[in-house]
Amino acid sequence: MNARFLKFLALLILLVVSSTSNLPVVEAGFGITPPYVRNSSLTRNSTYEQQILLVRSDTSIPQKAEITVDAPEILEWIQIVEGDEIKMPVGVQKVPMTVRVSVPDDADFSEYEGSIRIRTLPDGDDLAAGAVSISLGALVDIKLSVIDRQIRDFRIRQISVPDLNEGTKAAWLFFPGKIRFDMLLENTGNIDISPSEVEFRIFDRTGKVLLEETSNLGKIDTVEPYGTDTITAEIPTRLPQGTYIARYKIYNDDEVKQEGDLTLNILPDGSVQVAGFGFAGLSVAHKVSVLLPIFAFMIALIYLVHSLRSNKSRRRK
Amino acid sequence: MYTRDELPQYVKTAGKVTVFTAFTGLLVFMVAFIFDLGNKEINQALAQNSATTTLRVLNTPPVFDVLPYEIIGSSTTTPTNSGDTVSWGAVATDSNGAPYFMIVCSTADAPTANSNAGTLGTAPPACEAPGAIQWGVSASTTSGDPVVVSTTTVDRNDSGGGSFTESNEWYAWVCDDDINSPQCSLSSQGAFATSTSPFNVNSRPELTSAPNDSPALPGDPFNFDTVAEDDDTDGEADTLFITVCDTNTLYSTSTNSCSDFRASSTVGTLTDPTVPYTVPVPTQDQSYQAFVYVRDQHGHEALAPIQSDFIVANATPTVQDTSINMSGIGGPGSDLTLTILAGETPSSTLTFEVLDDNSCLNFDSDPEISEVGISIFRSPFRATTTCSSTNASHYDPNHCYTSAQPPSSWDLVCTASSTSCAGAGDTSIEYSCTFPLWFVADPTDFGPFAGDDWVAAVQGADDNFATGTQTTTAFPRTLEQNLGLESVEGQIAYGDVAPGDISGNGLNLHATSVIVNVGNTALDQQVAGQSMCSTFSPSTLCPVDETSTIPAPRQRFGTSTFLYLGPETEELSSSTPVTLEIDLAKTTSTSTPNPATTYWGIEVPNEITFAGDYTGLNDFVAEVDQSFSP
Repeated sequence: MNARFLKFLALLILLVVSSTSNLPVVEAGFGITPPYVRNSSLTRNSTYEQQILLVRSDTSIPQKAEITVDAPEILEWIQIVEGDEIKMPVGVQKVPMTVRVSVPDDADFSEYEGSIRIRTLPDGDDLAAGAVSISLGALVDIKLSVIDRQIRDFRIRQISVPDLNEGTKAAWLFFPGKIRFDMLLENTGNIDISPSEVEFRIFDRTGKVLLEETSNLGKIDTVEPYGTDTITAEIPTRLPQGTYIARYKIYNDDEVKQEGDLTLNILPDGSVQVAGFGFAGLSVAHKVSVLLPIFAFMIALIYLVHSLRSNKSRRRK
Repeated sequence: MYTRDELPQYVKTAGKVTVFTAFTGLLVFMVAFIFDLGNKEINQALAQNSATTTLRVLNTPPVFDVLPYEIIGSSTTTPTNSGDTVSWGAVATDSNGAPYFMIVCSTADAPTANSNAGTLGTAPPACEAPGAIQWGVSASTTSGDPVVVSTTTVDRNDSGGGSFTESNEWYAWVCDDDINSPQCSLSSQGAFATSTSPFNVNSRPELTSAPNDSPALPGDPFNFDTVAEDDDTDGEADTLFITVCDTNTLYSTSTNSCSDFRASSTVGTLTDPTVPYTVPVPTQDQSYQAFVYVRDQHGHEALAPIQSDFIVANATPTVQDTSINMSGIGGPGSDLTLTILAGETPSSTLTFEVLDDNSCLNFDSDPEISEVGISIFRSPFRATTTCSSTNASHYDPNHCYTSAQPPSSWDLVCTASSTSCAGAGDTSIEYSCTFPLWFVADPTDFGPFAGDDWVAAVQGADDNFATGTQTTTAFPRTLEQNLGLESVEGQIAYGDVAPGDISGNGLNLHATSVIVNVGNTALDQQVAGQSMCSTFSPSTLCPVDETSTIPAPRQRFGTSTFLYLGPETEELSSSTPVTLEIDLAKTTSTSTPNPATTYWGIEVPNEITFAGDYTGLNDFVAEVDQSFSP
C-alpha cells in the first residue's frame, strides 16, 4: 500500500467516525405494547383481560419489572396475572403481562381511570457505585366504562374455506356437501355472540352464472365477550365437484357485518377426510321420506300394543 | 250364274288372274330367296319330317311376389347421403323355376331382357332405353328367393355425380334370361311409403373456410365462423350445423360428434353456420388446434373439416381481497405489534392467493405467476397512487412499505406454496410472506391516526408480464401503540460536590440525562427517584440519616438549564412521580430517534459528613403523550 492510499483510508475512517459521533449511544431501552387497558363496554360481573408485552433492547442482563397499580377506585378489580414482579431473564427480549379486570356485581355504571406503572430494575442489586443510575419504565393507561346495556357486536378478522367433498347419494337420499366456513371472530360487544346467519351465493368459475343460494344449517358456536376465536358455519351445497366463486355474507341480525368473494373447491367424494352432512343436510322432502315410514311404523306399533292390552283386559273381565 | 254368252269375258278375266298369280308367286319367291326367310323352319321341318304335330310353349316372365321397395326408404326428409348405398329389395318367382334378375332403371321404358346360349342366370337385363339410367341390376337370384339391388350414390359435386339428382325416379322389373324368349315383368315403383320411387340423394354441404375471432380470454366467448353453403333444396333448403373438435381423427359421421368435442351449433342456418365457444376457466394461454366440421340437417358432413386453431389470450392475474390475510406476531388474524425498540420487528405475516384464469401452471409446466407486488400501508394512503408496489419512492417506514424497495431496505420474503397449485386445472397459487415493520410505523389504535387501519395490497404478475391491479385486503389490521424509550447514558453524572454546594459549581441545572424515543408514540417522561447514600441498592434503600443520606428532593430537574431553585424545576420524589412535559415527538427517522434532554442539579446538604461515593436510582417512566400530532 502506498502513502496516498493510507491517507485516503485514514480520511475515510475519520469521516465515518465524525458522521456517527453525533448519534446517541443508547445504553438501554424499555417499552410496552400496547400502553393501555381500555374497554368501554364492561358489564357487572364481567371479566376482561388485556395482554401487554414488556419489551427491552438489552437482553444481556437479567431484569425484573416492578408493577404498581395506581387506580384507587378500581384497585380491587385489577389483577396482574403474572404477579407484581415479572422477571426478564437473560436472552429474553419480551415478556407478557396480563391485566385482568374483574368487574364486581355492585360496580357503579360509570367511567374509571387509572394507570399501571412499570419500572425495570436489575434483577439483583448491581448498580454502579457513586452514581445515579437510571431505571426505565412505562405507564399503562387505564380507561374503563361499566355500562348497563348489552352490546351485541363483532368483527370478522379472517375467513377461510377448506376444500370439501361433493355431496353423496345413498339410495334415494342426497346428502349435500358440507362447506366449512371458518371465521375468526372478535367479539366487540359484551355478551356471547355468533353470526345470526351466513349466506352463500355460489357462482360458476367466471362469477357470472348463479348456481346455488344456500345458508348455514344449525347453530354456530359463540365467542365470549371481548374474546377472539375461530368459529365455523356449516353450509350445505348440492353442487358437483368443481371450482366456484362464492359470494358470502355474514349477518349480525339484519346487519351485514362482512361480505366478499372467495374461491370454493369442491372435490370428488372421498377426497377430503371430513364428514359430510348427515340427516340434517337432507332436503325437506327427503327428511319426510325417511321420517314418515318411521312414524307410520311407530303408530302401527302403538296401535298394536294398545289393541293387545285392550284384548287382555277384556278377557280378564 | 254361268252364261255361255259371256264365255269370252270369262276367259279374259281368268287370264288376268293367272298372270297376276304367277307374278305374285314370282315376287314372293324372289323375296324369300333374297332374305332367306323361313330357312330355320324349313330346316326343322326337314329334320322332323317324322313329326306329325308341333307345339312350342312360350317363356313367361318372372313376377313380383313382393313388390320392390327401398330397403332404407329415402324421402325428402330422410334422403340418402351421397356416398351411401341405395338398395332395393323384392321377391319374385319364375313360372319355369328359372333364376331371375331384378333391374332398376330411371325411366319407365322396359329394359332389355337378355339371354345367353350358355347356362341360365348369366345374362342380366339392361336398361337400354334412350335416356334411361340403370340404377342397378341384381345378381342372378333363385326363383322365390329375395333379391337385392344396390347402387352407391355419388355426390353431385364429385366425378360421376351427375347421374344423381336430389330426387331420382326408379322403376324395377324382374327378368329372366330364358334362352329362347327372355322376358321381363311389368315395372313397379314400389308400394311401401317412403320406400317407393323416387329415392332422394342428399349431397354434401360445401365448406369453403372456417375462421374464428379468437384470441379470447378464459371465460370469454368467441365464434367459430364458416363460409359454407348447401345447394339441396328438395322439400326445403337444407340447413347447416357446425361442430368443432380438437382433432380431425375422432369425429364420427354416424353420431356427428367427436370425443374431443369443443362446440357445436344447435340451430341450423341456411349458410355460413357459426357457433360461439366459451373458453373454459382455467385454460393456459397458447394456441389450440381445432377442426371445424359442417354438416347439413341430414347429418351429412362437408367433404373435409377445416383447421381453425384458436388462441387463448393471456389473462391478468387477480387476487381476491378475502384471501389476503395480514397478521402480527400474535398469530393468524392478530393485529400488528411492534416489539423491537429502535429497530425492525420481524415476522409479521402475509398470506394470499393469486388467481390466474390461465391456471397456475404455464404450458411449460412452470409457474404461471412469476412475481408478486406487495405494499403494506396505513389506510389513507392508496396502493394505486401513494403506496404502490411498483414505486420505490413511495416507501416510508412510517406508513408505506412497498416491495419496490430492495430487501436491504425492507426485507419482505415471499414464498409460493409448492403444494397449492394442483396442476393445469387449478387457478390459484398460495403465497406466504414474512415482513418486518420499523419501530416508527404509525399506530392506528389511538392517537392522531386512530380510525385508520393498516392494510396489505397485493398484485400478481404472470410469465407474460401481465400485471394485475393491486387488491387491498378485506381484513384491515390495527397497528398498536408501542411506548418505548431508551436512555443514552446509564447514569446521571453530578461529579464532585461539596456539602452545602450545588452540583456544577453554579446555580443552574447542569447534569443531563438523554432519552430517545424508540417507540411509535409521542411521549412524556414521568420521573421519580430514591435518596442517595453509599449503601443504596434497589432492595436496600437508604437509611434516614442526615449525615450520610442525600434526600431525593435535593435532586431537581427540568427541561432546560434552569436555575436550580427556579420555578421551572421539579423536585425529585420517591413517592410521587412527576410528569415532565418533554413532549418528545414520535420518531419518524429509523436512524435518528428523537432525543430529549433532562437537566439535573443536586444540592448536597450541609449536614452530610460522610465523604465518598453516593449511589442512587432514578426512574424514567415513559407516558404516552396523547396530544402529539404527526
